Amino acid sequence: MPSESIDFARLFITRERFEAFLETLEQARRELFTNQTTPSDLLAKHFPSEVVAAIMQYFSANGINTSDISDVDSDIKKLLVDLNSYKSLKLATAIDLSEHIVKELFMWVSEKVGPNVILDLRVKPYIIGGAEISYNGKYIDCSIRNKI
Amino acid sequence: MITNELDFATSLNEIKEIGYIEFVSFQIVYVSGLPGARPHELVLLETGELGQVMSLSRDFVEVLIFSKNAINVGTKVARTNKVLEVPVGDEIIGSVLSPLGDIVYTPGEPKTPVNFAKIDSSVPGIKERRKITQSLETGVAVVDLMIPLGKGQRQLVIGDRDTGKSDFFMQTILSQAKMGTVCIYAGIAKKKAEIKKIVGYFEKSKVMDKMIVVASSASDPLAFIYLTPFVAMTIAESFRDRGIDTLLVLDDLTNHAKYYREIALLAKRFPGKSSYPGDIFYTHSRLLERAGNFVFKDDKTVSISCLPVAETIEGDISGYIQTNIMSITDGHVFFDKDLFVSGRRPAINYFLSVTRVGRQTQSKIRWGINHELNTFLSLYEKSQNFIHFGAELNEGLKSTLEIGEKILSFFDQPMGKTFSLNVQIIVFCLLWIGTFKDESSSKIRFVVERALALYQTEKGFKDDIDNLINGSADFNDLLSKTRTRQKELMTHMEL
Repeated sequence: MPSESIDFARLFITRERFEAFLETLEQARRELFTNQTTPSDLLAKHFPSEVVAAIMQYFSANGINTSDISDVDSDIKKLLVDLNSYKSLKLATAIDLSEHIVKELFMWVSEKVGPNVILDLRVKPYIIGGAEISYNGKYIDCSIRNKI
Repeated sequence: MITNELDFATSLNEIKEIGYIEFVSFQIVYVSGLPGARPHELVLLETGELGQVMSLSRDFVEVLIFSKNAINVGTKVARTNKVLEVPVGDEIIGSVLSPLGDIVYTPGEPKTPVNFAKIDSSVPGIKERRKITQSLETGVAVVDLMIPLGKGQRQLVIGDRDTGKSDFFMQTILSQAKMGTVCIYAGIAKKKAEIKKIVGYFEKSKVMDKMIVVASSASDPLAFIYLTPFVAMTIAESFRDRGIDTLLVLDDLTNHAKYYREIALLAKRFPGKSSYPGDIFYTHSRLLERAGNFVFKDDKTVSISCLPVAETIEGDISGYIQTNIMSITDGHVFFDKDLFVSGRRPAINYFLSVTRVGRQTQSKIRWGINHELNTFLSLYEKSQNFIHFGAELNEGLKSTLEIGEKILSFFDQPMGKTFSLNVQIIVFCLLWIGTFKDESSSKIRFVVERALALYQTEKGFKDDIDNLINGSADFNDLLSKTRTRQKELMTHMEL
């Protein structure tokens, strides 16, 4: 089952956090065979509960027996491939955005362009105000620098 | 020239599409994004470099960069919605252009080009083409008499390096430029000193007002070298569209193939024979197909004659690229290293040279000369092989060898000298009727020089020669008329 039905993007929102998650997931996968714990315990050791729940949901949607380590390993590999295909919406602003605004922006973006999109935030003071947005090869410059 | 007007931020804001470089393979980069990119479209990097879209795949746009600068992954790329356009028209005559159309050198005050043309045009179909009927005078006696060319012909100039290929096309350009043809020379990956030498020669010969040089050097980016012949052809086509005959020299296509191979290998195209890409034949054929004889207004014709050059190694004319171009062109002039070493100038091996359409442009007189020469010279060649055995020579054989040597010394032509066709014909007729039987080879050269000088300076002499040739029905008729006027002509020429 593709990961589209479980939107991991909403759990991380920004590219920075999403990449950290991918790295940790890869690390957890490597530990599967070296650790004596069950996969669910291992995941719980690395991730918060809502992330573990999302991963477990992914496993169950794929019909994976979570007690079989090799099944879990191959499904994590598949999940990593799926997650790497998530697209980024690059958003450059003049100032660092607050967590609240980032969440609001993410909700708006998800509504406009659909799921599985990560926000790739950049700070470019020289644009003065507004934002530069690029997604899927499209580019919009709504910055003040462009207007003056 | 168009490249100066492009700006990254403007292009980005106008087209509203962005791409990011994901992989770099020397001068080829793979860009994600740019959903509307088209093949051959120009793209701009945020660092200022320009590139051209080579191909499109689902994930990436393959771009050939017009720069040798190091490119970083992650660099932003913007579309321009433009394809490469180069300046065309009278303003660029006399100039040396870069493959991007920038004027690198012009002897006088540079003029601003008004018109531009896209470098990739569709090749005219069969309905727009006409049979080649007009002769292309090269000013090189052995070619004009033995391997005649026609206007609109594509004739390969092939031979080892330093065998006089450059001298030949320079003589041809000189001869044609003097006759009013616009001549375009494309120097592909040439040394700057070589280009300077060629331009210097044409400036000294005062024909730069009929010349355009498009040149790329071996140190230029791969894209520049690849584009050079296409840019030169585009310029030739612009003159064709105005009804002006052009002569285009592509020096040389073996070099072009080597650099195209480099691009293809960097782009991970599957290598074919000698590691050349599978579309190398297509690349050269779609270039050379743009030359020919075309319909112009009111049933008139206009031509783009093309002399692509190919270099051989150790005289091997059966190389991959060489045979490819041979099969695309309408014949070839082969420069033989052995003949060059033996002192023959130009070192053209007329037995291994071919002209497929040039003969149909010949007058009856030239056809007769060509026929006689071909028959005689093959007999001369056989006789020469025969004397290697040290056999005793009979009178017939001696006479054949004597005349053969005289014909060869008549063909001996110094670099930079062009012989007018009618002078070639009349001197050959004098030679054929035995005027120089007891004379030395230097005497023949003297008569040729003298005849050329008179033909160019004395209108009476020129008219006389022209009338003599034009008033003759065929070669035999001309021979009998020359025989009658032999003394008179020689008196004039010997003074």
